[in-house]
Parts: sequence; structure tokens; C-alpha cells
Amino acid sequence: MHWLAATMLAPRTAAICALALAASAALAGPFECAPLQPSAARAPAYGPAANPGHCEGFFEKTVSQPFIELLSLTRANSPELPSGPLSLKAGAGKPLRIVVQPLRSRPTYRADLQLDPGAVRRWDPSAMLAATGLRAPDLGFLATADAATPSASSGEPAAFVPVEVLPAAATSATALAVLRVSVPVASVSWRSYRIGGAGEPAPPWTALPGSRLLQWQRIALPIALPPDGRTLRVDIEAVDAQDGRALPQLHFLVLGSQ
Amino acid sequence: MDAPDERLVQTRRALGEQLAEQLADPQASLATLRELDERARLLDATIAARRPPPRRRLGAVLWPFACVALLLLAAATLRWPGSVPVTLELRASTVTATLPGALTTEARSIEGELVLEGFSAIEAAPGALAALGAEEQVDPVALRSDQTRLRALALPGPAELTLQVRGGRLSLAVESSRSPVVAHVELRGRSAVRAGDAPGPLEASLERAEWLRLVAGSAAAADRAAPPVELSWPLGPPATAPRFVELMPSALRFAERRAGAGVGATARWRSGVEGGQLTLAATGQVLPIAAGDWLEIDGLATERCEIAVAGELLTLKLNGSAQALRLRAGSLERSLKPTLLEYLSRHHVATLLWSSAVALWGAIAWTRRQFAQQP
Repeated sequence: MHWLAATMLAPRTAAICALALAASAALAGPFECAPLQPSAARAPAYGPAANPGHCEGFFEKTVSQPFIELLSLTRANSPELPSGPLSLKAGAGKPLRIVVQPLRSRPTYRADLQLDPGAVRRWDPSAMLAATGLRAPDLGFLATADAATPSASSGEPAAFVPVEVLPAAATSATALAVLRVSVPVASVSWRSYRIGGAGEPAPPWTALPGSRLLQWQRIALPIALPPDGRTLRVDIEAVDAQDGRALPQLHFLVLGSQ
Repeated sequence: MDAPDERLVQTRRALGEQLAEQLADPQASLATLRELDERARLLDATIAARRPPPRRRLGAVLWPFACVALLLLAAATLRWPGSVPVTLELRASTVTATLPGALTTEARSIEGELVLEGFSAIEAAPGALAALGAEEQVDPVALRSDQTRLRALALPGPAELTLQVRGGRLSLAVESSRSPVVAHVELRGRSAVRAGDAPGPLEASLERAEWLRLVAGSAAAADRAAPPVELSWPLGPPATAPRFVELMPSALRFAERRAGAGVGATARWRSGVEGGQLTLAATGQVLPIAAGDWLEIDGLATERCEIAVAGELLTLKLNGSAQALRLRAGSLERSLKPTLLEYLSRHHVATLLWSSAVALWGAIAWTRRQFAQQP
């Protein structure tokens, strides 16, 4: 009789356990889709997908393009992206939002994924690749701790955590940032320094080789991560090709593994 | 006169019953019936002749006209209660915009010396200007460089922003109800920064742009109002005149504070309006606004607001709908919103004419009925 009761109770307890897990995942912080305007012309329009913590689709570009934009921040050891579902990971102690967008300026498609601390997120890019006609290397990954959009609006630079695409060969101490300019640019220079490092010598500006870029062209920037895992601030300056004046700088923070 | 009339009425009633009985009786003679009928008619005529004529009550006759008159008066006096669409083109020396939410202004290049007053702390990039980060006193800060850019002025919450052109300089004063107010500045080239009471400016030749972040108030006390800050810079040639298109105000005022002449004189408030015109799309009216008029707009839902500098004045181009529009010229204050009658006559002419016709017909019919009640 006991085994009969157990088999009858098992599905119920399993259901209760699943409910509790879902509730705890939901209580960890409401995951909302980014405040973007879903596209009226192309399908699928930006909105929540079947799984919780997942929003994907085409959206309308309603804000003007910044002069220089960060599209992807990944660990340099990420191998050739495998076909099929990807496993994404970012070492951080708080829930993150992974934003996947094409490295090109069009089409305007975006996927937002919720990443729990210390967990591995599986995501199938086939829906995005089929809808946009892109290949897996054309995608950029950003993991941000901010609420909805990775762009700073209050004056604080946006903070990102380098995304690791599994399987990874070995932990790398270099992050790869992909930048895109929206105007023709004569040169791009950058520097990085630790936050709160008072008394340290002024960090030098480094010009990126091959940074004479056309409009919408992309350039990759390798950033050496500090070994002690502290936050790194990166300043990027681009010089306009037309009048030789500096464009507004791009600032962002690379959060360490603390 | 009452008693004989009562008697006549009673007699007439008794006669009526008698007549009814005789008529019911098939044996009654015609002479008797005729006599009774003749008597009844005589009694009716006498009673009617002796009845006092009904007082012709003027009030009962005229009340429908009074109703219509009252409705018309209300429609011609009361203003349209909702929002009215407004198009405003104005020249003024001062514009005070109430911003309902958070705002980050767009990047602007600045020629000449940028002065920032009212900020409490400064953060500098770890470069040639890093020494500024240690400054205690940062009110005011004067910056000058080859390429100065006011990258952003971040307002965290509802604020009042005043733009004023005076003496060839544009000043932007902000009173924010939330903290902190942050100004981002980028300098490039030969730069000189003087902060607070420092004896001399910090000079540097910057090959790459260095950023400065000036903060008023603190993020820890976000609900407290930030200290009032003011940014001012000189106006350059008309081609580089600044334009503000990102403001979406919910209220507009144009009052300017004029410091009194002489020591100890009190400051006076006067209107900064220099002229313009206001178009109400609801009624198609175009109202000219003269210099010195006090114009106040409240409850504004802005669609487009552009403030540009033209010469020594600010030009405002506004499209939106407003809940309250007040114009004070001298001692005469009036609301510029259309009255109900103006609004209805513009948009619902057919309904207005039909309901007026029906009301008039009803009033005439009622009056005719009143008069027709006379025998």
C-alpha cells in the first residue's frame, strides 16, 4: 500500500517542487523585456518568448545611434561558435541580462536572456539566425547588470561582464570587445584603468591599429583583464574623419569576477 | 361671489344627474328632456361667465426662453474643460520649462569659457586633469579648451530648467527635485580649468579628450532636492547657435528677474516675452502676443518643443495641447482657451443648429399652448 501511495504522491510533489523552483526563479528579480518598440513590419516582433527569462524579436529603432557603440564583450578564449544551441556563462555574483544582437547595423533584431548567478544559460540561436539570415559569428553578446538597456542614461557608464561561450579551452585573461562606429572615423584610441586606483600613473592612450573606419564598420579591441578581478574602466575615443574633431567618448566598465 | 357660484355648480350637478336618469328612461317625454338640457346649458353659460379670468402668468410662459438664454450664457462664458491643442511661436529672453521626468540632454560643443556653478563634487579621468578630483571647493568651475563638449547634463527627476540669454551668454539654470544632477564635460587640446578658489587654473595640453564629471547633491540622498546649478557659456556665431529639442516641458513660464539698479534695490520680476503668436487649432484663432505680456501655460502635453538662440533672444516653437493658457496684459488677465460655444460652433455646427431649432420650436409651442388655454 505504501508504494501505491508513494507513486500517487510523487507527481504531486514533483509539481510542487517545480512550482517552488519557478517561483524562486521569478522572485530573484523580475525579468522584463527591454523597453523597445516591437516591429510592426517584420515577424517575429520583439516580445517574450515561450520560456521565462527570454525575450526575442525584431524591433523599431527609435533612438538615434551613438557615434561609437559597444556590441559584444566576450572572453577571448571563446572558440569557433558551434552550430546548434549555445551555452553561455558569465562569472558574476548577481543576475545578469545577456543581450544578443547582430554585429551589423541591420536587421534590428535582439534577444534578451536572463542569466542567474553562477548558472549556464542554454540558448538556441536558430530562430534568430533563420529570421535574420545571419550566421553564428555575426552575433555579438553583451552581459549587463543594468535593468533593461545597456546604454547609460544617468551619467554612470554602463557595466558589462565578459560572456563566455562554452565549451571554453581555458580561462583567458583577455576580453574581446567589438565596437561599431556610425560615422566615418579617422582613428580610434583607447585606454583602460582600474576604478579607485588613486596614485597610479596616468594610463596611456593607445591607438588601435587599422582603425580608419568607414561608417558602420566594426573593429575588435582586446582588453587585458586585471588579475585581481577588480572593475576596469575603458575609455574609447574616435576622431571624426570629416572635421578631425573628437567624437563623444564611449565609456564602459568591465566588471571583474568579484 | 363664491357662495352663489357654489350653489350654481351644485344645481348644475343635480341637474346633470336628473338629465342622465331621464335619458336612461325610455318613457321620458322629449319636452322634459329638452327643458332639462336647456336649463343645463343656461347654467353652464352662467357659471363660465362668472368665473374669474385666469391670471396670465408671465413666468410660466417665458420660462423656456429663460432656460435657453441661460444655456447660451453658460456656453458663451465657460471655457472648454479639457486640453486644447496649441501651436506657439514666441521670442523671449527667458524660458522656464518644468520638466516632468528624468532627462539627459544631448551633447553640445561649446566655444569659449564654460562656467559651472553650484556643483558640490568633481570627478576627473586619471590623466592630466586627475588633480582636479582632489579639489574640495568646486563652486564655480571655469573651463576653457580647444574642443569643449558638454556631453550630457543628467537630471534624475522632475526639475525646473531656465534658459536665459543675457550679455552675449546663454545660461542654463536647473533646480531639480531629486539628486544628483551630473554634468559631463569633455576637454581636448590646450585646456585650462579653474576650480573653486584655486589661485590659478590647471593647464594641460590634452592630446586625447579627458572627461570631467561634476556632481551636485549625492546619489545616497536621491529624494532630496539637488542644490540649484547654473551653466553658462558665450554665444558664438549664429551658425553654431545652440538648439534644444530634447526638452518636453509640462509647464512654461517666461518671467525674468531684473536686478534693481543701485545698492540695496530690490529685484523686480518682469515678463521676458518679446513677441509671438499663439494658434489654437480647435477654433482656428491666431492670437498675437505683445512684448511684455505675461504668458503662462500649464498641463502641457508636448509633441514638439524647440528652443533656439537667435541673436539676443530665445525662439520657442511649441506644438502640443495645454490644460491652462493664461495671458495677462497689464491688469487684464484672461484665459486663452476657447469657450464651449466657440468650440461647438467650430466643430459641431450641425448639432448646434439642430438643437437650437428644436429648443426654439419647443419654446414657441409651449407659449402657444399657454395662450391657447384661455377659453
